[in-house]
Amino acid sequence: MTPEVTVERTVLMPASPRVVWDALTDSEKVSEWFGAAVELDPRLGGAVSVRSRDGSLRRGTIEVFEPQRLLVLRWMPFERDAAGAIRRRQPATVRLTLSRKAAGTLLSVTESAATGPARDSLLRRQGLLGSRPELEKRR
Amino acid sequence: VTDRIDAVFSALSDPTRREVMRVVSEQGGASASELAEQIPISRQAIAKHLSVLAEAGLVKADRDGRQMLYRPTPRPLNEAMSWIAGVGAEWDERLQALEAFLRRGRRRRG
Repeated sequence: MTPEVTVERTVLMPASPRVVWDALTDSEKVSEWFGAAVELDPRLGGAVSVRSRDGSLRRGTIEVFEPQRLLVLRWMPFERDAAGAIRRRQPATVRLTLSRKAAGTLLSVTESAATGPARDSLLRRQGLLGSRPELEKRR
Repeated sequence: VTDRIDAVFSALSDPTRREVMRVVSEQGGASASELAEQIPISRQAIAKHLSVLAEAGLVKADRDGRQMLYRPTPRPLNEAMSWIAGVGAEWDERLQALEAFLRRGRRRRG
C-alpha cells in the first residue's frame, strides 16, 4: 500500500450544481477565486495550468470530467518558478464532488499525495527523479 | 503532541511561510539569502518566517561557514503534517473565496 496523506473539505455552496460546475471549469471564473491565474481546457484529458502570483507555473491534467458531478485532476510533480527553473512538488490528485441540496450544492474537495519514500519511488518510476539533474541538484 | 500539531498548523497558516517551507523541503536545505532570491520578500522577513518554522520544529538551523543553513527536520511525520496543514489552509482560502464569488454572482443574477 502506498502511504498517502489526504486533505478533505466539504462546504455547502450557495448555488446550483450547474453554477458551481461553471465556477470550477471556466478558466476566467476559476481565476477569480483560486488565488492564481488558471487556464483549463474543460474536457477529459484537458490541460490545466496555474500561474501563481509569484510567477511560478504548475500544470495538471483533467482525469475525470462528469459535468455537475465529479471533477478529478492530477498535478504534475514539479513546477517552474518565475525564472523557468524546475522545482519539485508533491504529485497530488484533487477530487471535487458536487451533490445537489435544497440550499445549494454540497462541494467536497479531496487532495491526496503520496508521502516520503513512497513519493520518491513514484517519481523514480515516472522517470522524474534521478534522470533530471536539475531536480536532483541539491540533494 | 497536540501543542506541537497546533504549532505546525499555526506556522503553516501563512502563505509566505508555506512557500518558505516548500522551498526548504524541496531543496533539502537553504540559507535565508538563497530563499530571498527565490521568494520576493526581504531577507529579514525570510529570517523571521524561518524562526517561526524552527520554533514549530519544522526546520532546523545549522551553521555552514558564515551563514545559517535551514534544513527540513527529517521526521516523516513532519513532511506529512506540513503537507496536510499547507494544502488544507490553501483549500480553506480557496473555498471561502469560491463561496464569496458565488454569492456575488447570485446578487448579480438577482
